[in-house]
Amino acid sequence: MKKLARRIADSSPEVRRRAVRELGAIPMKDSIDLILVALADDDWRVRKETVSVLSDVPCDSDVVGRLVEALVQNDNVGLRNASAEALATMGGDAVTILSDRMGSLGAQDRKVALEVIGRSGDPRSGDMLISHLKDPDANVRVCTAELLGEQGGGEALDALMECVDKSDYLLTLAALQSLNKLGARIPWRKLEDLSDDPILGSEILFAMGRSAQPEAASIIVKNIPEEPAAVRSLELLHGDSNRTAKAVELALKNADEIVHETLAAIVSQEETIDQRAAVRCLMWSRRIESLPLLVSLVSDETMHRVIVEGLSDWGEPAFAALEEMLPTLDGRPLASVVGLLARILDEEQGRSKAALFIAYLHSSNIAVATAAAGAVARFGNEGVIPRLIEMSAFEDKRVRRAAGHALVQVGCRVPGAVRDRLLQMEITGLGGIEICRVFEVVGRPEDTSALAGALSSPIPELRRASLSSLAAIAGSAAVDTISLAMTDEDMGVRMAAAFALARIGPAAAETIVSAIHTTQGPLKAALVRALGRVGHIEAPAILKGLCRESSEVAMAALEAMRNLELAPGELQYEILNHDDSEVVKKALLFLGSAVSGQRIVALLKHPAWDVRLAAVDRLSFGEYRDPEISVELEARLRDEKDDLVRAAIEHALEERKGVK
Amino acid sequence: MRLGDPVIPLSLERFRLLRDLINRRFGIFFSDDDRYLVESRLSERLIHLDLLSFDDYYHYLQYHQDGEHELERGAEILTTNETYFFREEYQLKAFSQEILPELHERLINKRRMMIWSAGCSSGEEAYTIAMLVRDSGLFHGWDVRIFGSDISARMLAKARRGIFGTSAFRATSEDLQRRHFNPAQGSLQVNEDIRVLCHFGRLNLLDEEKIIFVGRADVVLCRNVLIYFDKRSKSRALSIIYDRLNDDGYLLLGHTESLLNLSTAFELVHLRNDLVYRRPKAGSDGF
Repeated sequence: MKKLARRIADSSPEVRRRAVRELGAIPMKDSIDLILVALADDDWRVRKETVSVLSDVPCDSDVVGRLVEALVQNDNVGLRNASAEALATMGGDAVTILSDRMGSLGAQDRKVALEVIGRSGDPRSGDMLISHLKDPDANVRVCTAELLGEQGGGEALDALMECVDKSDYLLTLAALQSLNKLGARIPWRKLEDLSDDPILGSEILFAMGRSAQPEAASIIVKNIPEEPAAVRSLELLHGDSNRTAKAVELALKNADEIVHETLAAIVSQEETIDQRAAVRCLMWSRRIESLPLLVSLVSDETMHRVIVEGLSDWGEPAFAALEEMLPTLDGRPLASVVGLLARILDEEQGRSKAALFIAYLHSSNIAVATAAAGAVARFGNEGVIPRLIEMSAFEDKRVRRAAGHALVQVGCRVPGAVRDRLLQMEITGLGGIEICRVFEVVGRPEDTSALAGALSSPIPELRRASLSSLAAIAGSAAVDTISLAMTDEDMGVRMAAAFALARIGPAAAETIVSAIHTTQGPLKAALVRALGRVGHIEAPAILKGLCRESSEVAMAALEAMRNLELAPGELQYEILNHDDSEVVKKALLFLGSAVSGQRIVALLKHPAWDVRLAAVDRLSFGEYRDPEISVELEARLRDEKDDLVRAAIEHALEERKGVK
Repeated sequence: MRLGDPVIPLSLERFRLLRDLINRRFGIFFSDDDRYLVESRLSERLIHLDLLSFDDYYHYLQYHQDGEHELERGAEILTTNETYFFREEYQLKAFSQEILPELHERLINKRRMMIWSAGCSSGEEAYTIAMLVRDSGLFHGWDVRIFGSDISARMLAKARRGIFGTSAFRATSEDLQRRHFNPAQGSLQVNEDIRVLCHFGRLNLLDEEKIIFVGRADVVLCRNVLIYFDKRSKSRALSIIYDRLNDDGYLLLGHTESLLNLSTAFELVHLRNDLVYRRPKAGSDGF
């Protein structure tokens, strides 16, 4: 003990920390003096170690008494905090002793003691705290309200609700904070009485946001310049019901200029939660003057949806104002407005503005032309086809994609016109990739020769796209050509050929089966999945044989079997012996109740914990009723080292008790 | 390999080991006389891989994780030969004046024709065939597919680009150049209407499993390819080609090649301009 005492006084914090750890092995009645010394240590690591030691020892009333003494002394703040932390971990006895002594403690000590009680988790703590909401000391009452806010529960809510009145402003503020934290709805009559009180500030406004009262809207709006964070309350109130939504919108429309200036200022800040709420408020206010600010935010991913949805609700006034803005803009802002119009106009409105969009389609600014492509995708007709084809060959990939997408959409409306144009061109280069995608929509079986250039292109991406397109338009007639692509030197093209064959369907089955026998790795896996889509008379035998192959092929075989709804057979059970635990887990999932309990029991000794866990999960299902399985699970529980698996076994055993 | 790069000596014993390895995989055969060719061509691979001797290279091919790919690269280097458009003109004359008209007549109901250039190298042969098909004027609106295969990905990439230097045109008339090519990057590029007829793929002629992707061909050109194979591999390759040919389908070999002592499955056809082989109609004895 003397040695330990010397080490507790050592100059090195690490030596002192280790000494404390050793103190844990000594009966507490012998070590308590040194423990208290350690609790008052200057170094936080030593204090933390001491708290940890105290939380591990059996609770002893003498020790608790000494800690309480340490708690209520006023000389050493570090000791007091560490004692409070230690007592909070000790629960029951500490709460009893503190409760007994509460009457003799001063206000500051009562506060500290209540913190210990509040954080102890003891079931009596709620009642004890509630009784101190009427403590003679204001600080103790406030602290108690805060602690009840942390603790929650029905009784705490009721007690806090009682505190909300004009008699004790500090307690009311603390109670409001706690109630807001707990998401409580406070009766409107209480809030109404307090609405003019500047001390309660944002807390009363937050509470009003949750009140579901339309009357709250104008009060919150009026207070926004003083309490900008109240915009979030408006969001809450707006979302409550149609009535509150209308009240919020009306209050914002009628709001003073300074409210809108404040909203604009919040929107310009980077604080995302308030910023988004303020954007919504501007949307609801429907002031044309706010449009430039809102438009400037369209390119912000976090705001985009809010703005597009909001402006769609504005209707005609927004469209007219946005259109008026167009000549004053260029570059990205112009692209934003064009893109915005493309999204918010309905079809009829969009078609009436088609000429405007077509003009922007020819813009030399890439962003503007891309945005216009988005617009003509919705509203364009045959007039836009030549320009879109031109854009589909642009160097910038985003432009190509936008033009391709637009061509597909236009192709859905006027397929003949798009097809005629495509048949007049050579499908080459990177632009050809998009054109191939368009062909998928507008092409006809007799158009396959138009894709020939793409199929023999030096660009692998184009060869890939052409295969997909060919499968879509020519179907079974394309099998031979796609089959040739299985010899392509580019792996991506061979994969695309496999997908294309799958797309063709049963007519490609023979080719897929042949290809499965000649390939390896991911390509084989893709072909196996393709077989799962198209089916074949030999599919069951082929797929069973693949269960022993590499992980990716075995997984693909499992998926294919599931797609083809093949009944599991003996060979598939072999997959449960696969080296890859992911495959085994997937097999368990796929094979389901077809796997016997004994086979799953064998997996309880699998070297991978996740497989053992999956096996235990399956055994907890009702279909495995053999009592022997429970015996096996109990045996495994004795040997199992992994906590998760142990917990799962215990759960499974519990579940199985109800299974007869 | 650049001029001045060192040549790493290859002993006869090691040469035979390497030769047998390549032969087993690709059927390509090198006689003892080819030792110096193998030594000089493969030395660049040893230098590239930082290997000091052909013992190390053999070990690499056998046991390194990239050994399989390296074997392909080595075979590619050893078999790459320069070729050119309209090579062996008299045979092409037979093809365009006699075979194509006959195929047109025979296939007119299906309007579909498949020609396979086996061992196409950088694509000159496949494109030559495409030009002859176009110029014949017989196949407009047909589904014509000319498939060039080779074991060299590098050669296939060149074939797909379709851009060729002057040496590829030593047997191409100016008229043909003008009609079927366009200037590109200081060379000539095959016109799009020719390029679209040609497909390319990577195939080892002895890989029976993958060859099925070729489908059935009406003509197979396998010119100056079998010369690299030993007798057993030649027979296997011919058997594979036989299987891929439609009845009455033609096999065109190089002018120094014949099926003598290799296969009796094909029938010899005396055309006005050349002798070619043909797969007899079903019912005849094949392989």
